[in-house]
Amino acid sequence: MDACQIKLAVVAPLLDFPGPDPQVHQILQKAVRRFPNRLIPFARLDPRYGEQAIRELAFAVDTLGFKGLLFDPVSTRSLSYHPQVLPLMQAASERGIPVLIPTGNAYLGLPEQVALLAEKMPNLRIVLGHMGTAAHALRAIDLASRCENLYLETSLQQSPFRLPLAVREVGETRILFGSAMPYSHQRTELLKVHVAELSPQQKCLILGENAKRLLGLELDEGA
Amino acid sequence: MIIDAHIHLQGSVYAGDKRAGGDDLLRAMDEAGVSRAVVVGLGPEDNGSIIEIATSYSSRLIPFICVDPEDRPSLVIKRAALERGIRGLGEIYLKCGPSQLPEAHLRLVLEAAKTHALPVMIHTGDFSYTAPLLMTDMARRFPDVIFILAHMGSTAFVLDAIEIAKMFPNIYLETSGMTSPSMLGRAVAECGPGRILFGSDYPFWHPLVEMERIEAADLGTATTRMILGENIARLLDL
Repeated sequence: MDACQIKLAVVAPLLDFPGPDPQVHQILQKAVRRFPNRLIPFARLDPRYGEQAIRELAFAVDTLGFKGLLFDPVSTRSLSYHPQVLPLMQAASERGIPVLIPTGNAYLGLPEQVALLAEKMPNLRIVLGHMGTAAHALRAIDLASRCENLYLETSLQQSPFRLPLAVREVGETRILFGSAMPYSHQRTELLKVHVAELSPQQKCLILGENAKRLLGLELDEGA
Repeated sequence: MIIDAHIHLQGSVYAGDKRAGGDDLLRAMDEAGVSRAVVVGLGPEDNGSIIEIATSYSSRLIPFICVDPEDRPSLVIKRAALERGIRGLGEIYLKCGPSQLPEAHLRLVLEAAKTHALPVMIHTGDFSYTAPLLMTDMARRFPDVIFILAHMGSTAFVLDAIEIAKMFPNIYLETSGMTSPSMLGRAVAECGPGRILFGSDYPFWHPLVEMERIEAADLGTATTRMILGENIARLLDL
């Protein structure tokens, strides 16, 4: 992050809760506490566990101070729009936190599936992680253009040439820079935004201002 | 010398995209410091333009062509290779379903590739029907044909791409679109540095960004130079 002059980053566990490590959020919080002004923790929950997942969300947000939820349709083997998923999404919506959902070509991570969830929950702000990756980026852009609670996150979609299209179709305020480190690298992900044909103001929004607004962070200078 | 092992001639590939092909392509190469590039087709309909531009810029562009399944591959390839300076075949898309490239046809293409010592670029990655391991049988049956796996399986199938490259010395891996620098390091460690080729897949992706990933992998000067140009230069005898 320092090498790339990245001041803040959203960080989530690589394991779902419930899962092999019941302390996964406490461990993350301990790590984040070492860098309190740099890392923004998200809980990572498996919606199939219903009340147990909702209680952990409350604990992570209210007690540990987490700022969002990561829900991975692949690792939790869940269809995003399935009734089993909705209670946890409802809980996130009621707390006003965003949900990051990785999307791509896996049969459980299609942007279309997530868009159906977005339609069911218009007050839930959903970030399409990886904006569908290269395989489904154009679909992700199209869906986000029609669904105002969908945001696009730029990592793993390698083309800077698609970003102006995304800005034109979706608007400059619902696109968020991400790196998906360690699956990609912050250097290449940043360069992709920098070489895209966008105005400095648009790049500024994508590289931080949009995420800060989404996360309700103080708009302090230069971050 | 930096050589991009995978570009296309097309300009506009996204809605509102104003790039026009030829000049924009060379401008993108110049901006990224790319001296030469292998220009490959998306289909046989590109062959005419590829031959034309590669003839006009013969010091910078190295042509590959696609073969129409309706044509007789051996004749088409022979003519192209002998008369028009074609240096390889591709980009070939393996697809299941109605548009599947028939195996018999692919075999004819590979026979001709073998006869004329032309490497073959195969699109891999993203979808299970373009998985690198689908090439296992062909790589075994055609040990004299060099297979360049475009995108080295992309991020989703990169481990499979490394695996098949370990199994067959005639498999080369082209880097465009595979997002993880650490996986590049793994490919070098497991397959050696000599069969990994930098590519950008311009105009879909950007040579500067794709090159940055090679640099970010921190592979050392010698290996980086091999990937950025020396390997493809050796392969194509440039």
